[in-house]
Amino acid sequence: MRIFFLFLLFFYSTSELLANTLFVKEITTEEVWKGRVFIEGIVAVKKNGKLIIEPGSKIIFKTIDVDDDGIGDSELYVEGTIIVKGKKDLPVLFTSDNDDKLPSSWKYVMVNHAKYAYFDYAIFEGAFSGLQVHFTKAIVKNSIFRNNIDGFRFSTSIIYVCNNKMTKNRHGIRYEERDSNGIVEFNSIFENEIGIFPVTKCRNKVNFRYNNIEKNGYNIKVGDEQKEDLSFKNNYFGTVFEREIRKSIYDKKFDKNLPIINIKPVSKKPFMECDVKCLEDF
Amino acid sequence: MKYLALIYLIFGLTGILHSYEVKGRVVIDSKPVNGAYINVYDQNMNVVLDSVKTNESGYFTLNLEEGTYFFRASYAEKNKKYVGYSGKNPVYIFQDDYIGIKLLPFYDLKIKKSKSGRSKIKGEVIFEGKPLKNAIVYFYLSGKDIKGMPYIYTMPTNKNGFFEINDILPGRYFLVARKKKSEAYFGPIDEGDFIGFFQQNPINIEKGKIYFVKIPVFKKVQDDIPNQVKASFKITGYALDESGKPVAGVYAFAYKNKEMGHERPVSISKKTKDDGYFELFIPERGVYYLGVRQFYGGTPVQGELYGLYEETYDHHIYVENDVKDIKITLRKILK
Repeated sequence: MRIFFLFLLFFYSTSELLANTLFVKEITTEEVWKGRVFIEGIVAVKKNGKLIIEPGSKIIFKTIDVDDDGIGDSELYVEGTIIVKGKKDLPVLFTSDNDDKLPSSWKYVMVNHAKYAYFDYAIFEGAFSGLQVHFTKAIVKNSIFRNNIDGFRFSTSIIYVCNNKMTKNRHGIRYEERDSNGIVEFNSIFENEIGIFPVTKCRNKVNFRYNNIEKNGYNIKVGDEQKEDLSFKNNYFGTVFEREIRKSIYDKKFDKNLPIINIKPVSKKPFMECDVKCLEDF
Repeated sequence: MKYLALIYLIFGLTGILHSYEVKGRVVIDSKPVNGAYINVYDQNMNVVLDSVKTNESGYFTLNLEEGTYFFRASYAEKNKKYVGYSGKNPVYIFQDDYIGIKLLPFYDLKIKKSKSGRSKIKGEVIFEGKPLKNAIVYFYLSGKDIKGMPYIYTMPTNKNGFFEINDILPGRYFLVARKKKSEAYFGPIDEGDFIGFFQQNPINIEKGKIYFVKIPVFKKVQDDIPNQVKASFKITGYALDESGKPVAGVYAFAYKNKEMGHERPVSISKKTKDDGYFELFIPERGVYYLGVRQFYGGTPVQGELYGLYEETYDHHIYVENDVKDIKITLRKILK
């Protein structure tokens, strides 16, 4: 068991406070985590660092809010390599130390300008963002994102996202595609305030297909600054009736300043577990 | 005694509102212009000064308090009218400075009613009297934003230098035309790039009218420091590749916010030369987040050279003195 401590030294402004007061542990070589790991502050996997997390591990983020912005400050920040190797019966859990698991109890697992990221059978709960991936090649499979503000969030990455469940988040998947490409397939995105939230700069280079996107406040809601029409073909939206599906998609039909979300053809039946064929590599 | 207090007050204020000497030169086709008027505006285009004239060598001198200003020059001879703007606009004056202005032929604005009732703006970008292809016209909502992100911008001009925006929302806009030799949409104006200001900035767009504008541009011949800030401290360092060799042609930057890229940087260096050396001018003591990148403006893209200050986990540095010889290693994004 590891415990990383927080030091409270009150000086400078808020951002400086964070930079100066949260305990930071840097990982610069290969490190393997197994069992229960407590994070109180920031763990940063540096460029040459590699973090491997074994099946069944529980990564528990201490609920602290030094800058008092309502978002927990504990985080795992990766610029090197992260390999999360959960198993179906032994997932890796990223969670908070409080019993309620309320959204924003901890900040995020942030993968930014990293060498490589691989997540298999992980659970992210009670975070501001369960997982964020930016400027990185990443594979995210068989995982659950629940009770976060943003379940999974990405931009400018090469990504493969397969057979995950995003549920009870404000946004199941939030993305600014920018210069990304990749595939998002066989995911179940349900009971979020917004299932998929393309914020801006999305250009259809990430292919959303074969997903079950249903029972969300809006299944898809396009951001105010998104300009190009988007395609979400071959997904299941909970019904075969186009008029019903359209009610759950917030696009030009709701606001003439927004682009159109093209959904045809839609899948007439949900994708089942037996349909799922995730790629081994991408 | 009352008068003495007043004198003290006046002299005291004079001491607080220190003014700086701004020298400059106005030319037409590299030739000095005698008798050109220098117009200085604040960021809302209110006139600050308009009575200073150039001498026979084209030079002028004026004094300004610390602040951000627009510099414009105008001149008329033999029924010909010329107007020019400094390519450095808006200029933050915090020390004695030098402003060069090239005068360009004046093109008047034409307005007519739109049959459709929609507002449109049509125009032409002109270089040395001829249409300029592939220039972009940027629309800003205020003068102070001119070095930042525009409200909207046009498609590149066609072979006739033509651009058009339909259904533009009524309002007040500052128009700037640019063409970068790198073909980038954003970034500081480098030597060899084209820049020109609409000569009647700002333009007031009204509902149901079509506006015809011509924007003359000039070619920048000398590099200057982009985004210059009042410098209390200086950070110097080197941009290096993974083998430790210096990298030329990249920009160092300093942000105030950890989420770099969500706001304008506090400071941007000039493009590095062969030695990879950069300088960042920092306005005040505090925490700054540092990096170096290949392209200026917008989100970094796949294949772009990019690197962050690695001595702290989140790339911050606390500046309370000059910082020397930091090293930042660049790698290609997602390669």
